[in-house]
Amino acid sequence: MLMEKGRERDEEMINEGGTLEKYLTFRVGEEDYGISIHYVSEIVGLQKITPVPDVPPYVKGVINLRGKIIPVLDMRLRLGMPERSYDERTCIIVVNVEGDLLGLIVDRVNEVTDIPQEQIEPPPSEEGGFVMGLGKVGEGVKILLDVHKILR
Amino acid sequence: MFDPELLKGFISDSLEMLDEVEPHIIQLQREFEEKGIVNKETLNEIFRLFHSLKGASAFLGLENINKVMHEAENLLGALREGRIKISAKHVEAILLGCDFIRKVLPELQEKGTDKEFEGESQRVIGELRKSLMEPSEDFQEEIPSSEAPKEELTPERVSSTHKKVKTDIRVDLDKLNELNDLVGELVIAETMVVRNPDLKGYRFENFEKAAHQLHLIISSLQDLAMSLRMVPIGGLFRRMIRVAYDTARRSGKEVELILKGEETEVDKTVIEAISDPLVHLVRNAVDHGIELPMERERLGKPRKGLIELEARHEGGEVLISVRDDGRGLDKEAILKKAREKGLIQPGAVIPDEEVFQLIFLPGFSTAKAVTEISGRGVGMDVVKSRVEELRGWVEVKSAQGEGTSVILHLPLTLAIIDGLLVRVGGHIYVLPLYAVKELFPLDLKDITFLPGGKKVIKRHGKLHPVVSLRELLGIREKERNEGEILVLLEQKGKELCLGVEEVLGQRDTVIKPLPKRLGRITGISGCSILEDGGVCLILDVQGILERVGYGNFQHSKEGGEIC
Repeated sequence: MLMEKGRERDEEMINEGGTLEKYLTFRVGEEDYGISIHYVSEIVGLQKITPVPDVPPYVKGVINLRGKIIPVLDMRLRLGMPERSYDERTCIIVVNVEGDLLGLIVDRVNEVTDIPQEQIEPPPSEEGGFVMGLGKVGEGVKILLDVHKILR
Repeated sequence: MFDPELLKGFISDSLEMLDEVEPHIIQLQREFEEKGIVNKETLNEIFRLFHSLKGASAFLGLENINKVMHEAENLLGALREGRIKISAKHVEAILLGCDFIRKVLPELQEKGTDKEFEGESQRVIGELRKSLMEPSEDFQEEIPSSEAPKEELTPERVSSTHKKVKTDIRVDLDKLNELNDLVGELVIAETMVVRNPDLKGYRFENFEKAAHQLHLIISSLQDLAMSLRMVPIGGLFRRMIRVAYDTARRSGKEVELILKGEETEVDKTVIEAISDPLVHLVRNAVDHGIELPMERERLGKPRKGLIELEARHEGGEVLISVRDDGRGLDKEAILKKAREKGLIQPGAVIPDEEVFQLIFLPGFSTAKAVTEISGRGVGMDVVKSRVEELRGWVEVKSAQGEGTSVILHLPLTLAIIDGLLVRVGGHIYVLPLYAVKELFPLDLKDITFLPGGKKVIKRHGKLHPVVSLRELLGIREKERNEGEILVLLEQKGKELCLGVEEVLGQRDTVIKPLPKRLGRITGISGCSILEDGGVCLILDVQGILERVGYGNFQHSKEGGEIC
C-alpha cells in the first residue's frame, strides 16, 4: 500500500512537469533545509531510539511508529555537523521513500513554504551528493535535499 | 479486459493444479512400466484437472493456454479410452504442457494476456499431437491385457473424483501478516490499558475481572492468528516428485522418491523460502548422490536409488531431511579441495561433521564435472544462507558408500520466538531460549585473560570463550556496576558465554523484521515491540558466534586452541 502511495507521489511529480512547489523546511545547525512535502508522511516528537549495530553513525537506530519499525537518522551527523543533545524542539520528520518509512531527526521544524521552480538554483558542486538545489526565499536560502539519497 | 481478481484466482488455481497433476502423471507412467496397468482413477483425475483448466482459460479468453489444454485433453482422452497405450513419450508431452502453463503464468500475472506465447504454444501442441500420432513405439512387447485399461468410464466413477469437498478459502498472505501485526499490537494495547499509570494505587474489582476476560480472549486470538499461517508441507514435497523425475531422466539414474510426514504443518513463509533449496537438494541427491544403475548393481545395491524426503516436528523445530542411499560424501576429496582453496591449514585435524560443513562454502563443489543439472541455480551455499535467514541451520550426515542425509533444522514459526529478555546499557535484547543452556553470575576469579584480550571461563570442566554483549554490539552506554550475568549459549555444538547486565525473564516474542534499508546485520535476526512501545533487538546465536569468530574455519582453529 505504501509502495503505491510512493508511486502516486512520483506520478504527481511527473504530472506537474517536475515542478514541486511546496517544501517542508526545518533547521539543522545554522542553516535551513527543505524537503518536498510529497515525501513527508508525518512529524512526530522524539521518542526512545533503539540502537542497531553495524550501521553508519548517523543512523541512530530504530523506533516503533504505531507498529511499524522504522530507521531514524540524525541529520546533524548526516550533514557532517557535530552531535548535539536533543531538546524539546527536536523532532522526527517521517518521510516515505519509495514505500519505506524513514525518520529524520532535525533541530526544529519550521513551516511549509512555497518555492517556485524559477527560484531554485542547482547546487554549486556535488554537495555531499544529496543536495537537490538551493531555494531562494526572501532574504534567505533553503537547502533542498533529495530524500532518495539520504539513506542508501 | 476481465476482472483482475478472476485472473489472480486462475493463476493460483493453475499452480495448484499443476502441483497436483505432475505427481499423478509420473505415478501413472511408473505403474504402467512396473505392473503394466493403467490406474483409471489417476487418469481420470488428471483428465479432470486439465479439463477444468481448459474451461477456465476459455472463459478468460486465454487462447494459447486453451489450445494447449485442448490438445493435452485429446491425448488424455485417447489414453483413457484405451485407444493408445501409455508410454514415456506421452508422459513427456503432457509434462511439456504443464511446463508451458508454468512459463505463461508469470507473464499472465504481469500483462493479463497469453498472446505472446503463440509460437511456444504451437510447438507444444505439435509435440502433443506427435505423441498422439505415433503411439507406444517403445513398447512393442506384448502388454498384459489387464481388465483395467478396458474399463468403461461410468458416470459414478466421474462423480467419485469430484467428491473432494473444499471447505477452505484462499487468503492473501499479506492480509494474514497484517492480521498478525494487528494482534501483536492488540497485545501491547492491552498492557497499556490494564497497566495504565493512571490506575496506579487503585483497585477495581470489576475492572480486573473484565481485564482478565479480555486477556483470555486476546491470547486465544493470538494463538489462532498464528495457526492460520501453518500449512502442511505435502504440497511442496509433491512438487519434488517432478524434480526427481526430471533429474533422474536427464542423468540416466533410476530413482524412487519416498515422501514422509507430508501432513507436517509449517509456517507458510518457511515453505516458500525453502522451496528452491529443497529443489537443489533433491537434484543434488539424484545427480551426485545416487549412482548409475550399472554401478549400483556392481556394488550389490538395487538398481533403483532411494531418496527419502521427510518432515517432522522435534523439540520446537521442524526437521526437513533429504536422505539418499547413494555413494555418500567423499571426505578426502572435500578436504583436498578445501586445502587447495586455502580454507583449512595443511595438517589440521577436522571432525567429520565440520568437514561436511565445508560443502556449504561459496564456490565449493567436489563434483568431478559440473553437470547441466546441478551446476546451475542455487548452490549449497545458498541453501545454507537461505536456511540461516529463517533462523535455522543445516546438518549433514554421510557415510561413504551408504548415502548422505541433509537435514534442515527450521523454527516452527517465523512469527514468534520463545525468548530470554536481557538488558545491556539501558537497552533490552532478546535471546532465543532454545540456545540458552545456563545462566550464572560472573565471578572474575573464574575468568582467564588471554594475551590479546580474549577471555575464557572454565565451567563443568570445559573452557568457553567469554564475550560481553556490550562489546560485541558496540553499545556505547555505560555499563552499570552491578556485575554481569553470563548466559551460556549453544548452537550446533558450539558454546559461548555472553555477558549481560541483567536477565529480565522469559517471554514469547513476536518477531518483526528490521527495516530492509538497514541491510543484513550479523547477529541480529529481527526486532520486537515491547509492552511500553519501545523496540528491542532479537539476537541470532549463529550470527553472534560469527561475530566472535566462530563459524569461520580460519578462526575456528584459534577457537580450538582456546577450548
